[in-house]
Amino acid sequence: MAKCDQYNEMLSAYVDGVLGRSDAKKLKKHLDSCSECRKYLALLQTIHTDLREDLPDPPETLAPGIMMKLKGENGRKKWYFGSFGRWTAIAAVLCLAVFGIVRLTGSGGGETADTVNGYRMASTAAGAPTAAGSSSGGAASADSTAEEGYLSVAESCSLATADAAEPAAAGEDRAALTDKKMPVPMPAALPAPEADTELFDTVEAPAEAAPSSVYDAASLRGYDLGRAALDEGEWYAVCICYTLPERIAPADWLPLTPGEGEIGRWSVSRETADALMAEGHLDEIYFGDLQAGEALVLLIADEKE
Amino acid sequence: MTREEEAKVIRAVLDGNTNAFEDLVLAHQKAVYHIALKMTGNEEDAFDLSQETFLKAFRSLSTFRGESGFRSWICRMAANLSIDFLRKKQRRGGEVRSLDEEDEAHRPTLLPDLRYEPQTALERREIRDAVRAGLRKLPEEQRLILVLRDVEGYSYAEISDILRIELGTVKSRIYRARASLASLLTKEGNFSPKAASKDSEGR
Repeated sequence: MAKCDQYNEMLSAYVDGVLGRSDAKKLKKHLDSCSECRKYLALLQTIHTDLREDLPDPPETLAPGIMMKLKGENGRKKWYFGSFGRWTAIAAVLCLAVFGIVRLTGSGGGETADTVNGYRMASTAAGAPTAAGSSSGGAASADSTAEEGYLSVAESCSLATADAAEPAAAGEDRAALTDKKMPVPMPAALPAPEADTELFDTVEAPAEAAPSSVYDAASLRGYDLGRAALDEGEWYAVCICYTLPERIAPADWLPLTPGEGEIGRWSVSRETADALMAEGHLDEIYFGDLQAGEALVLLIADEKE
Repeated sequence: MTREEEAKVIRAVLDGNTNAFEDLVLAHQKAVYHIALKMTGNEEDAFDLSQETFLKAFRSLSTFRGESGFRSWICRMAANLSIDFLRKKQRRGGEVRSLDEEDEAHRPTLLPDLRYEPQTALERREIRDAVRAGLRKLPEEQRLILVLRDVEGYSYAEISDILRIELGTVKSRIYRARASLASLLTKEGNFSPKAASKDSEGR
């Protein structure tokens, strides 16, 4: 039997008619003298034949259903804050976080964003929409992977570097800062940040987005977060997933698993993010260049479940 | 739809013509639905997964590179979503894995002899049902490759495109999945042992 194991794959390939000529010759010669392999071949053949099945067509409602959802979704993208869906929730949470850092940098008096709390929110308003109808004005936009209405990768990166480069002027009005650093106006419909939003780990999400938190790297210490703390040159991706991307090598993922019905945000390497996107695990990716030690973890309830 | 037509449609969708996406749905919904259907084993989940697959494809259409065709791309998405779905379900306390993946590559020791046994139509159907039932018990990855190869009849090259693995890997994975199924079927006694013993009595 053991010596027959070398024919295992050949037998299977033979069933599919893809065995090369010389291998086929070799196999046939062996089959002539080995009844075990002949039996095994018959079994593999049976599996191959019996699995073949004419499956029913998809229900006629499938395609119209998909198109209806798509159009609904696209409509919502143009009027982001018209309905309180998950995009609204995500954008709201991000904006809250942005307000938080703006306040911090604003009150820091010459302190740069980098030094604030050891943490910098590189994404800024990556999840926030541009004004309805207006194409991305201002900053760069070359290789945009973001969908219409969202800030492009280039834009969010440039925002991040802008944040890092210029120390915020002390006492500058939040609205003025916002206008200056973001090429898009902040949506008026968002709730104003609470008084305690100065620390990232106490930023509260609006009610419809709970539970969610943005942590600074220090407050994550002690948790098994793997790559939450990025090394220099690494990128982070925002993952908004309907399903948990379990097929990705565990080393590339935080062991922090969102519970059922939650959308997770993890930091991952740029390469992994690209692979995830290509494999269809992600709806969207936003990139920002975090510095060493920076981390972002955000869990938002998925309205879908 | 030819590759060129497909590229045109994709371009149109990316340029903002959402309606054009329907052509892609209509052209590929069958392939997507069949994968989801055989992976999940029920129409309702297959419907939801198919829908999810296309919505996801729409959203990430800009990342589609076109090297291996839209069909492969969307089938890979359907396959990944199906596997994620099954694992999620399993974690919720669904089915218990019945197969030890370690001995997957080994052929069963007591082989039934299906070669000379005259089978009645009823016996044929029983065997077929047992084979199909066995497929549902395989680990997700193995189930997937047999759905693609044996149920749907994709070629090795197509499977290589869909799963983005080398041809040699396709070959060995198909074998391992079939071997798993074979040993499952013999272990569970789905194939009448008399067929096997007859041969050992010497024919």
